[in-house]
Amino acid sequence: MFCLYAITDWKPRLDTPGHGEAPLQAIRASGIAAVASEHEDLSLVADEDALWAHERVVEALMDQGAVLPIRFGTLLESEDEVRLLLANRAAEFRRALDRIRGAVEVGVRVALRGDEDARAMPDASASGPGTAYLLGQLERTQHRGSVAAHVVDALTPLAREHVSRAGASTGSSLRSAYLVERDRLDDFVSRASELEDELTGVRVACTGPWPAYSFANAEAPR
Amino acid sequence: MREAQRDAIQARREAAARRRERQRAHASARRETAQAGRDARVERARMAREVSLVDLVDRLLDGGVVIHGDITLAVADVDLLYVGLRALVSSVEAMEREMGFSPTARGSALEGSPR
Repeated sequence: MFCLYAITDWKPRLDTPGHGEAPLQAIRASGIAAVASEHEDLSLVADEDALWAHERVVEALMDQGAVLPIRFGTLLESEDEVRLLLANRAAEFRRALDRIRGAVEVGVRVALRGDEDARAMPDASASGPGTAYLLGQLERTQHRGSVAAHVVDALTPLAREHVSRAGASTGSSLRSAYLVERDRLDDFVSRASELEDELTGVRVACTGPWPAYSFANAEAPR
Repeated sequence: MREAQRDAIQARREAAARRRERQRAHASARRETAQAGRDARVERARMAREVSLVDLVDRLLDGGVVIHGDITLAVADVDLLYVGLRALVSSVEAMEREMGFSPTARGSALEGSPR
């Protein structure tokens, strides 16, 4: 059984071990390669160690060139199945690699401070408590919307692409991912930190640089 | 004369003792400052790691190339992981109210993915 980590279109150096310290191998077909580790029997649990093990492999490849990360826990039965996958989807994988080449993903988390939300709550005595609650909700939603727009306007000129992540509308924080050229990474991160001064009561946190997990599916941009 | 010499020696000894005491105090203050710096760094690193862990889970379980039909993770495992993460994140005081983190929304999103 083969556990898959990433797809490349160049010859990777494989010195990071995979799950259970298993050595990595590159399985090639149609001019692209899948980086995988072979296991007699592998029962993967998505715990912290296993997630980091997958991430370490992909990050080590990311340092060498454009890499398409594969979702955690992808197992194929045989080498032939891996080759078939590469052959069947070669064009799609090449397009996806071209899309992310030279860039990395930065996670941006924008959080409204709790006290800011409380201030946005109108006086309950002015009308019924139900109305006040709804007005408060409305104001918070509008505030969130304008903060989100400001952040997107400030950061998109410094990025190739951006996506809002699933669940972005729940709770008080906005989660998004930006595809940033490697040599604009510093500019991007310092622009993000300036946003905290421009928007009162807003916290902007960047994570990464990550492999381009959020931009890996060429057919279905998220 | 001899008495004067004794006094001078005594004075030098006392000065040396005071110097040693000052050095000890400085070293101790330096150690405390260094320790406080280390604590702050450890705290920051811990928080960064926990936030990163949430982002890691988002990406590895919900992003990346999807190979249909071959994701072997049980949804139950994923839900447990998210519940665990929420507890972890909640423990970071600064993040507690600030992060909109919804394991249910994520859980149901994952149910729709191939596995």
